[in-house]
Amino acid sequence: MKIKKVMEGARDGEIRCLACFTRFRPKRGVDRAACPSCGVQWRISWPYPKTARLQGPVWETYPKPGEPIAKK
Amino acid sequence: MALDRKIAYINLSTGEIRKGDIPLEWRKKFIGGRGLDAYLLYTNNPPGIDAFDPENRVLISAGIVVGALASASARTHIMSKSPLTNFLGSANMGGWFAPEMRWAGFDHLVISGKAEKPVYLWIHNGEIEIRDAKNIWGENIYDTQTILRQELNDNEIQTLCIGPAGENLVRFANVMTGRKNAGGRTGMGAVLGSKNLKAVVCRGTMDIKIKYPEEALKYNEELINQIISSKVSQTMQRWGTMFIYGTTNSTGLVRTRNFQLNQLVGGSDIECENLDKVSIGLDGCFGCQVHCRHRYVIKDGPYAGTYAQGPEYTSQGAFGAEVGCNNMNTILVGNHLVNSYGLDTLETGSMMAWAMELYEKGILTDRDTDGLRLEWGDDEAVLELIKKIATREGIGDILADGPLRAAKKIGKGSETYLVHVKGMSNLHSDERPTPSLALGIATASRGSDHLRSRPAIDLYNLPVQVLEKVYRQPDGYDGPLTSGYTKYEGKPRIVLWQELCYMAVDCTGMCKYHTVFLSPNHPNFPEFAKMIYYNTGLEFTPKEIWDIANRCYTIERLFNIREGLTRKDDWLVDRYFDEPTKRGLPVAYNKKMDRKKFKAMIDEYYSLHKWDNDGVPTPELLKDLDIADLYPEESRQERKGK
Repeated sequence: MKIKKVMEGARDGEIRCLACFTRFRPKRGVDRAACPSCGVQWRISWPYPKTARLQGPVWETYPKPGEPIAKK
Repeated sequence: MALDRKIAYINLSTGEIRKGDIPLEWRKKFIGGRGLDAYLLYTNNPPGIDAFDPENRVLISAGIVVGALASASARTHIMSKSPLTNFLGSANMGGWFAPEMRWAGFDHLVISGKAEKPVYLWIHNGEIEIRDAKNIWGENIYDTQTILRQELNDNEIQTLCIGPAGENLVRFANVMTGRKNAGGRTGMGAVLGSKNLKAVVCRGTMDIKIKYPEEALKYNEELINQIISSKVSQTMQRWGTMFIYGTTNSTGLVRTRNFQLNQLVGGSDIECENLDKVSIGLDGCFGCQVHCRHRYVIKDGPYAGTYAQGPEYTSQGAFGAEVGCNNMNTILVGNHLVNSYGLDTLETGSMMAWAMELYEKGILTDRDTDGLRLEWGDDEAVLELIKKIATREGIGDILADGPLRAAKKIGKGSETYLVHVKGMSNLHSDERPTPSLALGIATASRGSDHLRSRPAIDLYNLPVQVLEKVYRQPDGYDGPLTSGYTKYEGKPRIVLWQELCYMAVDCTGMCKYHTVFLSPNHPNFPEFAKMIYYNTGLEFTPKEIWDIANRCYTIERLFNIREGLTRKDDWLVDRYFDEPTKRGLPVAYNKKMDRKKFKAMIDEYYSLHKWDNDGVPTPELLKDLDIADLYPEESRQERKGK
């Protein structure tokens, strides 16, 4: 039985910004990235080399309650 | 043949054990697992009895492809009347027990009565014995299984058992198999405890004949590829279900400090990535390639050196956000303790969070808690309270009775701060910004619940085209579907679809993470049809499986209706409508549920189900599903009279 171990496809390494839902691809291996669309900053982890995961926000820069997010 | 496993009726009061074939007609109408359990409970249980009455049946079952050539076909189901809610009790767990039960010759156990003294069932290659359990009564989950392996001199046995919490009739005691697999919800462990039934032990070497083995093997390969090539599965392979917290807490969808906040700000210590510091690898259930269950050794504190498994997303809430703790060690120890005592982690965490809010508001004082200071984020108080609940000591004795009974005992307006549906506490998710998820917990057949109908993929804001591909089949639904999880429109359909999908997968005995739960690309009705066919030879179209799931879900609804459920039970506590969220991203901030819109959602949900305005399945629906005899006109009229 041959099992595909690694996801292959156009969305390798992509994450989705939880603030504006834009998909973007952080540079492979980075631990932080800002959404190119709205600027919200995220911490990134990598369960596998090609698979990015949004670990959590960068709390220091997280939008304050009620603060709007600038969507480009 | 593929369908030769038996059903056994076991009366613990008399010791009578009756075995029989499972009629093919039942397979065609209910498939197996949870679906057939629903029919058996409805037709065997006397209406209106107390959950601790010996006549209350307990059903233990394996789905139709469990232990066969189907991925993650490992699930055990247990069903009874719930001592927590007085409605349907039902729980589902992974591990290795259900395959072993099938290899020992049985698909369904129907247990009634009450043993005079503690007993366990020993099931092996077609035989069932009722045995003395005095030397394991009082033992925790882990030790119970170890002692039974020694007593039976067989390391290959699989055990389903209760811990001290079940023996003490904690109304949210669970049943466990292995070190971590929990049938957690609705207090099934307490029902076993009320029957003096400590454990069910299985060992079998009876082959399951696959109808079309080559095709089944090939198709299973396809399924496995479909499942583990998704990003969700790959992430679960690293960190289990705890990965979900990254999305929900980041957005502001996590119930925090009971229900006062919707985000644990700075709660980074309990993120799944920190499991890497303690994990010694991952383990899996029978037939599963995902392996989402961490094995770990506790590093710090009085439990240092203890080996345990898990934790899951639910425990991140129970011993993290809900009680205001940001400490991975507390999650790991709390997870170990509830598993050891045999407590539902979710209900335990929710009851503790509620008690902490009562303490903060002065409704509970040090006099009530024997000096235990129930302050947010106090790790030691949380762990101490788990023990008090399991052993029914002091304030723990009150909390052990579950939300509604505890609130009645405490009084002083304490019920205002409960977060429950039908007397069962909510997951640590905060559904105020997500109407579809809110509808799911309000209407789920076993009380507030995220595993009976949650359209989790709604949180991904998927394009409508993707939603259409999933949610329009297999019955050709042509109503509205909407992208955007804060919307109310088009959501009742996706809740209903998930209900039937989860029912179908529970009939097969496969894992929910192998269907459309966290990924829209995972198997559902068409795949279930093929898998059942190759394994058993039973032919169903995807639409026929949909109809069977609908039949089984309708019987669960009828059970609740017969036990007194009304429309008002399909509702959320006032806090959902009156208290807006205070944290989170703009999409989740300052959100509360709209009563009028939510009522309209319920109306549409009932209508889609073909239930009447009070939530009772209509005669036309029952006739269509060929179960009109289960709820005759006299029952309908009697209910109206009340």
